Amino acid sequence: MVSRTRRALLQGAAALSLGLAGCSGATSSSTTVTASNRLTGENAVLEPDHVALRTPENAPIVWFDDELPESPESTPDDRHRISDAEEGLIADDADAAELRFADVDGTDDARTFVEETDFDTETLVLETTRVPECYRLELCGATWSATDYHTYYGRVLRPADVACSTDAWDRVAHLIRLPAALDPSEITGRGSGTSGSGCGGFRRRYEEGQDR
Amino acid sequence: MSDRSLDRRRFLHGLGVTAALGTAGCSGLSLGSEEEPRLAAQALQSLTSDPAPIIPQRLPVDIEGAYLESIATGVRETLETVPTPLTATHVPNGAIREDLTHLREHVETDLEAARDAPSPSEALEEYRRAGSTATELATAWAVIDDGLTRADVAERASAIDQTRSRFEQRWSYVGTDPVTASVLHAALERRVRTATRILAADDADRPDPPDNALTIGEFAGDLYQARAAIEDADYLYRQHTHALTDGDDLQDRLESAAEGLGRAITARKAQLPDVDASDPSTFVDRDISATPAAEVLQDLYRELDRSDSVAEEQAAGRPANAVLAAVWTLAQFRAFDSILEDVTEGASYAIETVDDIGTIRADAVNALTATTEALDASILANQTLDRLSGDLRFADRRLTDRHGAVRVSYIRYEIAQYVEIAAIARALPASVAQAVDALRTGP
Repeated sequence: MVSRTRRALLQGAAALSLGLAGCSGATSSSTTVTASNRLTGENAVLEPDHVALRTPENAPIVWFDDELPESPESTPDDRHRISDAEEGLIADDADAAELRFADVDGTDDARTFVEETDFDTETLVLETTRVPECYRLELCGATWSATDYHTYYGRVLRPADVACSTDAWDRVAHLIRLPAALDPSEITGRGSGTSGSGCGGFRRRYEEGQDR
Repeated sequence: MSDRSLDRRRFLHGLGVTAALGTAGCSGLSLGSEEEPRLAAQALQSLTSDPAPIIPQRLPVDIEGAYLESIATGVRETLETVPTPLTATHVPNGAIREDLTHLREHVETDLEAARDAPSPSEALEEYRRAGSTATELATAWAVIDDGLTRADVAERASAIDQTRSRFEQRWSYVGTDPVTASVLHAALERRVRTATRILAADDADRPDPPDNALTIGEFAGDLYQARAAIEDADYLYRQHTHALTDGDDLQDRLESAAEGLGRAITARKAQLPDVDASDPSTFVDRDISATPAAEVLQDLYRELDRSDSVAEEQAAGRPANAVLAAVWTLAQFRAFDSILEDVTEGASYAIETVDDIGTIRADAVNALTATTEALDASILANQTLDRLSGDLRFADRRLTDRHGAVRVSYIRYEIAQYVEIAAIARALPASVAQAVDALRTGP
């Protein structure tokens, strides 16, 4: 059994102060919602367990069954829109049962990943974003408290031999496992940021937090 | 539907509002006074029809055409290792292919700039820029086509470092005239500093994403710059020493001059008025806030108050650059004094019409032209005049890069720049004379 003192110490060590610079040229948040640009006193995790599903199709990959709009591509303006049904928290088996998957590579692994999540101690984050075809998104980490959570990505060039066009965009869905049981009804803020220079910035801030 | 899903949906709606409000701070827009004059952007563009004087960069050695041509040949040979045009068969990744295509375009632009350069010194700079970019391109292609790695490229560093070390052992501050020598050796100091900085870059300076053809190419381009800096320093030094019939080691002379000028700057700094730089009206006995006068006084005051470039160059063992830095800083002090005097007597450089800007800009152009003619023979002034010319062109670009009806408060910076350039240009002859005196007087 972990002693009270040791538990308090571990909790303190996990409490990190991480900030996401607002309006930076190197940071793109065009497809994200940011409740706050400077975050303090959070829990943080580096490269949490996750699965990523990618498709060139302009259609949802993973979504909550009850919330998908009837015609998400009904107008040109909506063409690249990520619907609310493609994002959110999965905090129990009932939420998990609502998840639907498109027929893309990796779907079976994603289903298994959801099934293996222990909702007594863990929560899944579903996020969907668009990424230029010649790049991939690397999940750098996540931060959270009882009332908010934030994810951090780095954009990385795909190898030179991957055939892709600068005009094309793919859709990417991430299922991210946070090592904490969050109550969605308590969540009042969330955010996500993508760095154009990889995950080094997040990693440095995470390590600085560990050293405090 | 579960209760949780309802919560989640409500929460997302809330975020939509937050996101919309949250972007307001990034727009850079401000709501100014409605009475503020606005000027037509098109009229601003006509103001720069009289261009900033071109000041060819000069070095007090003969840079031979054959040396420049040998560099150009090297650039072309490097380019020839890369297929033209690069197709999707060569590089399937469109983003990488596009970047490589842009690199080639940059090389061509730099080669053209080198051919049209107003002086051999500037041609050398352009050819080296072309060489760095060509190396970046060729290396990226070799990564893709031949599996070249970062480690392969890194192996080039030790040979460059050995060349740098050999050059530094051979190099002394030899010369006959301390003024000419300060300019020549400043050019060598800068090149050695460039090579040292690049070679000292360690893992912490590496890009965060995993290596790819582009990042390894950039690394090779940097190493080319280090090698080129030492090769050019070696060439310039040989040209300098070949032309000398006799000469002394002038290091003590340059260090002594730098120390004397540094003391003069410290004394001038102590005489800066005791003002609150954040409150421009403390400079004079009236409210000048939101005028170009406030902008230029604040800008110069802050720069001079924290100015330590002379001391930094001295501490880094670059006495020749310390002397050149002193010329600039002393001219800034004199410019500050003269602008403060004008503002005290009522000047605010306020703008109401396009003609007002034209008058202030013409004053800067005229002052720079007059000083260039007056100091043409002074190699010591060349770098500062070139810098002022560059500042003027930069202000011109900002002024003309406008659209629609432009609030005059939005171009306050450009007006302040013109005022500052004119004042520094007028102050330059006295500052050059002061430095020449310090160099010729000796320790």
